[in-house]
Amino acid sequence: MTMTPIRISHIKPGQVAASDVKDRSGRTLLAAGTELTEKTIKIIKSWGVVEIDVVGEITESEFGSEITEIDPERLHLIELDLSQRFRFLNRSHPFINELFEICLRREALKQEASGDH
Amino acid sequence: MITSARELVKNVESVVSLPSIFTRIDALINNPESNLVDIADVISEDPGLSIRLLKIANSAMFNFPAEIDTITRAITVIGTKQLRDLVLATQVVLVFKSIKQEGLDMPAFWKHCIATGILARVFASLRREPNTEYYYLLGLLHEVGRLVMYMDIPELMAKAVSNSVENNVSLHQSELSVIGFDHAMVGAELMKSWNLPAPMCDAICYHHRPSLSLNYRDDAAIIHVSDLIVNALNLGTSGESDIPQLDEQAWESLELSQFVLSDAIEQLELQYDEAVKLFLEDA
Repeated sequence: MTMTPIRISHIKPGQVAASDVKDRSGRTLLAAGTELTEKTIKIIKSWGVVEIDVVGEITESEFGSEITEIDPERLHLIELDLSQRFRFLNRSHPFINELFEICLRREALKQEASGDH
Repeated sequence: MITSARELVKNVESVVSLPSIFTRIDALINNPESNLVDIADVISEDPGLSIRLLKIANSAMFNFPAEIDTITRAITVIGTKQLRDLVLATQVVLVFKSIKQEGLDMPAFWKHCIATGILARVFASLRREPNTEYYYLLGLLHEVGRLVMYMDIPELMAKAVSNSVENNVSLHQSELSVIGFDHAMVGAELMKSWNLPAPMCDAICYHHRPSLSLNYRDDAAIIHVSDLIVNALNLGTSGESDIPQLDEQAWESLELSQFVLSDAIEQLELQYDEAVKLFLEDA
């Protein structure tokens, strides 16, 4: 069972909270084991919660669906270039990993938008 | 030969002196007996500053519903504490704006600083800091040490640049090994020579190694992280061609989830263009 927190925008209704969901001051909003309905997700989002531990495996990649339009070879080149720029950093650190993914996506979308060849 | 950051700053003190208007406004703000009109009067002496302040007060940064057309109104909207920081920011930009340096793209340099400032402000507001303009100011100033170094020791800086390429290290690391001190230290010394408060000097001094700061670790951490992200996003450049190392403890201390990043970056992008326009016009 995975315990990596998932960003709130990727949570699907029906998933179950694996641990207590707390707000920024540490107050519990939802107990572990509660099912996350669409309404519940909306409410905790308004409390400023950005991530939740959910029960079960994550099956799809975070950004996969958004950059399927890009030619995989070009995406690979962008990734190589980005890796070079990130070479002084620890890629497995969650913050760095997230930043890398964001930069990858941004660059891919930018190139797609400008019709780069 | 320059042996320390302090010496370097002493050398350039006359060239990079802070315009007196800031000191006067700062004194007025700190004086409980002065009032808004006194402050507005001083600002009005400088038409450029007046126009700039009005523009900022009316900009998306403050989102005020009605148009602000007087300085006193602008001060009320912005608040005196934030006003002080804004005035300082504009004056610093003025000091350095006219500098044309070999090997340094000035507009790109300022874009990097402005973006860092905006992002720092976004993180500060996520952490519920009361004076978010302060973080914009820190972001704007965090790299000025490098400008001073380019101005006064250009050959050494060129050496540092080639050393970083040859030995595959960041420019910042290279400054330390080739010159003996880095732009963060120079920046801090400059702030000191301007009699700016210790928290500012400290946050700038340690923006690459926040964990070393004794008292202002969180502020330094905010700048550290913002600077790193802006580097990754390639918004302007401060001279680093690659992304500098992360002080992981600094990130932990901010107590922010990595999932706030995409929203924070979105915020940055929304404010970036307008902020760049405001500060770089009449360049």
